[in-house]
Amino acid sequence: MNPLKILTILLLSASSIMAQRNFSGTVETDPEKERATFKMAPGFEANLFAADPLLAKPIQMSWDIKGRLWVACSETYPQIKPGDVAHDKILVIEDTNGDGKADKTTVFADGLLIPTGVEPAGNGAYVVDSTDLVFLEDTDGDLKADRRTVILSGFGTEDTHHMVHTVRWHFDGRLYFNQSIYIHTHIETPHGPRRLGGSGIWRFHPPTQRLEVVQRGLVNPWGHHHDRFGQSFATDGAGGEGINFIVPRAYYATAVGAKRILPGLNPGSPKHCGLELISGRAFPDDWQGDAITCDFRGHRVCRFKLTPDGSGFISREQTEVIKSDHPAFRPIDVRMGPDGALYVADWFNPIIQHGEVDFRDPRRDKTHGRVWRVTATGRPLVAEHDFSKMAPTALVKLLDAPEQYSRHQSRRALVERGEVAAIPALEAATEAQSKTAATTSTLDLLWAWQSFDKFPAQLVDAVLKAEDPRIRAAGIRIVMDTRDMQNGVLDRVGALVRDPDPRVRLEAVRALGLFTNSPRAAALALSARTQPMDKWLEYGLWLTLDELAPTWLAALDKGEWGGDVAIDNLLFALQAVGAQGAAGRLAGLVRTGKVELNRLGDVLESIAREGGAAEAALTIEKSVGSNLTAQRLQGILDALSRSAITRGVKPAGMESNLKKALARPEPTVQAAALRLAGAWKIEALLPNMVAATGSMDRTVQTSGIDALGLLGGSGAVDALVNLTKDEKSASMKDVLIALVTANSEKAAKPIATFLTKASPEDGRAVVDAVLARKGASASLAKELSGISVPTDTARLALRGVTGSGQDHGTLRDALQSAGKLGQARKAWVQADKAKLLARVAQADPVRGEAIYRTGQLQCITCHAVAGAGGLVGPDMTSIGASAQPDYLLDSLLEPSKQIKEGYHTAIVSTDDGKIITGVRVRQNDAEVLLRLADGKEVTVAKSRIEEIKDGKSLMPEALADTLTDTELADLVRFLSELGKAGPYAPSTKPLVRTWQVLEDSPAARAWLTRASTATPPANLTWFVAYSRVSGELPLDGLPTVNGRVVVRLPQAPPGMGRAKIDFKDAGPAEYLANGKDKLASGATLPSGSLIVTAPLPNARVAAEWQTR
Amino acid sequence: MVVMILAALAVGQPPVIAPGDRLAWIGGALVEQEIRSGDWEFELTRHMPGAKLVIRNLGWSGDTVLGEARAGFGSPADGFKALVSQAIAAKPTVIWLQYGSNEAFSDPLDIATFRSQYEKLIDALAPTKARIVLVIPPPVEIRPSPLPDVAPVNARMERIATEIQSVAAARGLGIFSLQQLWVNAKAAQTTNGLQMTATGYRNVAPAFAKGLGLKDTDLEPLILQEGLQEIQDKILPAIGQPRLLKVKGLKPGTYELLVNGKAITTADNQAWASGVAVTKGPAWDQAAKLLEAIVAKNMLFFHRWRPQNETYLFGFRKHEQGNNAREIPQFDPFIEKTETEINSLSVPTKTTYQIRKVSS
Repeated sequence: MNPLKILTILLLSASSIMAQRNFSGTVETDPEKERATFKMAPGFEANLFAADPLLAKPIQMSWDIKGRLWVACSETYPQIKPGDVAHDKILVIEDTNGDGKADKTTVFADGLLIPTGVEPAGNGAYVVDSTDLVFLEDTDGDLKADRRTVILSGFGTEDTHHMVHTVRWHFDGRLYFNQSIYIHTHIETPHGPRRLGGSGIWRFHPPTQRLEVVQRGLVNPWGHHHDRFGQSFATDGAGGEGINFIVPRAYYATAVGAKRILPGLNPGSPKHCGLELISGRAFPDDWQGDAITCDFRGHRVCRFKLTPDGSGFISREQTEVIKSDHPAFRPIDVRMGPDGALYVADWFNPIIQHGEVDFRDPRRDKTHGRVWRVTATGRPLVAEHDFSKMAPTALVKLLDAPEQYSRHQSRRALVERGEVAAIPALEAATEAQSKTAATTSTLDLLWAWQSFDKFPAQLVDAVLKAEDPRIRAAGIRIVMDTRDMQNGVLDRVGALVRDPDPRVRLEAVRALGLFTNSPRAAALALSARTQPMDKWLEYGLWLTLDELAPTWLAALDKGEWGGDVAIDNLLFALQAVGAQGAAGRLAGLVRTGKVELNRLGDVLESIAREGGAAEAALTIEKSVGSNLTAQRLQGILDALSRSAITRGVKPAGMESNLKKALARPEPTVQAAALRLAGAWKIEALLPNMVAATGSMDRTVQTSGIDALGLLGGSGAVDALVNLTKDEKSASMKDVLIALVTANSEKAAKPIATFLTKASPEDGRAVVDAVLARKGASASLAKELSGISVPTDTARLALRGVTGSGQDHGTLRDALQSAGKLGQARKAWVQADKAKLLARVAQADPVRGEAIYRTGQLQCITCHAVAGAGGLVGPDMTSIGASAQPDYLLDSLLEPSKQIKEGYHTAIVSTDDGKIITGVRVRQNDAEVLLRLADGKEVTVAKSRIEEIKDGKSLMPEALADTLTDTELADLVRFLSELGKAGPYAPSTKPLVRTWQVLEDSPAARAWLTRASTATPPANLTWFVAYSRVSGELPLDGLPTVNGRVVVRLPQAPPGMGRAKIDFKDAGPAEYLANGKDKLASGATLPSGSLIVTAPLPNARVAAEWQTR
Repeated sequence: MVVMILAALAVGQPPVIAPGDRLAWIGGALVEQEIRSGDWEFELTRHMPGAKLVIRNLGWSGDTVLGEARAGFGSPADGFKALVSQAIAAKPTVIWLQYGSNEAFSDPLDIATFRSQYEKLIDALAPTKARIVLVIPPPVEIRPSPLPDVAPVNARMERIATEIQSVAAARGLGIFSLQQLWVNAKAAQTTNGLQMTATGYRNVAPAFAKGLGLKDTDLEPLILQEGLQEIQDKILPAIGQPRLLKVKGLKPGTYELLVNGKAITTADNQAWASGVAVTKGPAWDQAAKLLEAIVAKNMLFFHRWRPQNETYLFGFRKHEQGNNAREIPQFDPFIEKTETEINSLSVPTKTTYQIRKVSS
């Protein structure tokens, strides 16, 4: 009824007119009409709690002890305009008559600049105001802030949706807040300056002003909360892994300086904001403890079930709480409220973000906002309390209430009442409590004490000895806050490293990482290895050893540590800390004969990976002198080659050792030794390399050629030039790649000649090698002039050039003319784009999906949907719900115009003339990890880097040129449907999305003919196939073996058992187990099962995992 | 109009500020946070009425002589480069360097490195041709437990102060000290030893002015007589600063004071003879406006030199939203306009005082 006119036509540029049309021009702003679009979880309903004009653009919300909702709002986002005065607000919203609808709003504070966080306390609230965390107070009781005190300052503002957010009191009485990936923060505290560059979670204790970083990484960690037992979880507004289990001080994706990272619990589940865990009687039993978060891009309020798994958790997505196709429904925060209902803040905006959409895009909504209230239909709500009016003894009674809301507010109310009033009540309860064994009530009481930084010994003792391991684990985290690092805490925590429960062990191992001055802590942590480990424990132990490394490594060197540590643990510890100088110490253990033969190969390989020249010399000497397997020896030699190439580790005088390796009978060892001789630049072995190029063994021959390329110098270059003269050589591609590495100048002419008759694939491989050498592309471009290259060869090579992220204009032009490709199809002008966009609404998303998956483009090899597909570019799940068609078309036509955060490329030049282009996955003081266009990850030592420049997108330009206008419209239509309600909405079902398909080969045919076992031989080739968004895998078009398609189920995700199979339009199928069993829809099969069927036209198979 | 002559610590040292100066004030959080209160800048401006000072606050929380806090996505060396280029961009004629607070937390303190890096910074600022003034930061204010014991930090701060004095002496640079900032404070002025309370900057503004060498002699008691008189004050009062008004030779009775025709206060002849403290009137109103304008200018300048969304405007994502960077220089005219206003507000306006008998 109340449509908001999005723009005034007069103000528009051509592109925004187009965008407006695609956006249909108006957004329905009537809350009731918005509510009508909500598809609720069965048994639930939503009502409007508050809406504009009571509030606009809510960002974070939080309840105070009186049951009033505090909301931080910003109309200034994303950027203040010159001359404007910031006027963003903190609102206090109340439902004074208890009818579930807000009836009173007070502007508590005004004049703020994009306040990204609010958390009430005392007579006011902590508020994030751009660079500052301030405490805004009402000193005269009119509910209007009249005093502003800066509490902490120095937060970065490099991106206004990355600024400090998610401000929240946690059970321990500390204030937590998060910052996102681009933020660089420098805070002056009385404990010294605290700095954090990149994402992370801060923990702050106002009375002592202690400020620490408790987690690093995630892209936009926009949600953080603890479960009933104080375990910590976070969500990520730009990452793709759903709920993240937060291990204390661990590193996650994007963490600056990270050496190793932990993954999230729901790979393929991107973009969540806010986090609440369901608690209380107003929700059904099977919802308790479930994590609720918001997929603001896909217009969904999501629910995940968390279940313990070893020391960590499994998270499984459930049916959504709310699902909508309203283009402006943007849930961004969730909180349980005083009545036990779930409250959802709706930012209400057709446009999210400002990285890819112009700051001043007129479609940005500035005036609307809602808070929705979700209740279980017919289920009673809980009684509300005004905690500010309750006596301390009454508050203490509510510390273990069934509702987390009440537990939280009673603790907060005690804190606000102050020590004098609260402590006697806590003491009385403690006295009563200490007569019984520890329960959650004991834990709740101890958390209340912790808020006052006090830790009664009897409660600490009780929780550390609790029968419930989850309470013991929580107790460890609490006891570390006593900061009492001497008096027995080390021993108590150290003993729990051997606890029967894995979560307790993980907590204890991580706690030990805080004893940075105690070498003994590392030895205690290692004792965790006497019991089963899992991935969280492995990581936790590594991190603890890494945190403690300076202390125990120094003690080890002085001979004061390690005497009582089993050699196996010592090796583990040294291997774990890797680059911190472990190689030299491991080498010392090898030299003194302390490493037994069964560990020797493994240890030598570690040394080869991390060591310097002296260690490399020892490694090769010991490896060629010991009776290692060919595979192990090859691994060591290859590790030495990598160290030589990436870190410049080259010991002198190694000729005789290499000769010993070359004398081994195995071709794989000979090949590795040749490469190493090249990497170490051993001129004396040039004749061996030249001889190898004539070997009958293909591996040896190729390695001889590679070795010449690595060796370089006139002798090697002459030998390679010589090899190019044999025009019929089957190794020409390898020779040219080696030659361009050794001397790109001399390689240019033979490469140009080669391209005149090369296959597209070989041509591409050689051109890629050219692109990876400084200056090589210009030389080749010159040689290509006047030469003719097969069109397909030129086209594929061109894709390498335009997808290199670098600017190779002259080579691009040269290839276009040599391949007679002409110019790119056309320069897209606005009118062309408008014409194409006009066709999108009528275009066919089914055909669009086919284009996405197959043919020339194969978008899916780089861009996954719901985790199925490549990781080179951003996941496309829900892209259509956040990006307008004009943006999608622009991104297809000009990939570098707007690049998603985390996908910007770096062009790295190294001191040996190499150029590596890729997405920076992470970096630390020593190295940079890049993900290349083919999805491979490459580590580059910082010491070798001459320059890092910002690159363009890895997505090849002009990709869309191969499409007709109809196909392009279909593709845009498909992308724009992703995430909208309908067949392309994100599914919460655990569907199988990644399959393996058997490639045809003589071995495959022979095996399938006689197959009587489910275990195929190792020499078969499998390739990956992805399901459609619907979950169906089209069988038609997959490779066949003996006329049949063979697909293999992947490994089940954690917590899942068998998969339920569903055939559509398929012929008879079989399941290869013990013999061939008939297989029909509805059957369930375990991980790795093989399904055989005919590739009938339009036949599909789908599978859904079943809970174990 | 009188321009104050500012004391320097030693004979021969250049003035720490003079009329017409463009001041770049560089340091950590204590400098940066001053922009919102404006109290110290107000104190300086009111003591130099009409002096056309241009003040550019380039403080950045957590900063050190290395420019550590300014590195953004870059390496520590980039922080130093940023520090120098920010100073140059401000086109200063005088630079105040207020460093040492964060370094004082390093244990052990590497004073030699501090000095050499400080001197490297001074050398790097030479292209500005500005007079460099070294500011000795205050110690951490001592606060009770559970806040930490800062005695060791302050001991190191003392050592740093000595070094700064030595650098200033060796190079003949201007210097002033904030070491006495907390000395006369009646209550705690910081929440944690470092971060000012809501009124902290104002409360210690006199100590700041004293450290800077500003003399507060011009706001002397005003001697009036019965009837109308025009007064031209030399400087404005501080916010809430009382001024003593004396009227001698009045016959017995009650007399009213009107300023610019507006009634301010009433007292009897004896009270007027010994002096009546006044805290309101056009001068105070103008002082409040001046402070307001200073804060507004500071906020505008903050958005100009440290805008939000740097990453998109000037950083590695500028190819996407960099077109919006055109808005940033659009702050300049607003800043200039406010500065003109500040300059005229800093000069007290001619005021009519009237002492009128209301009853016998």
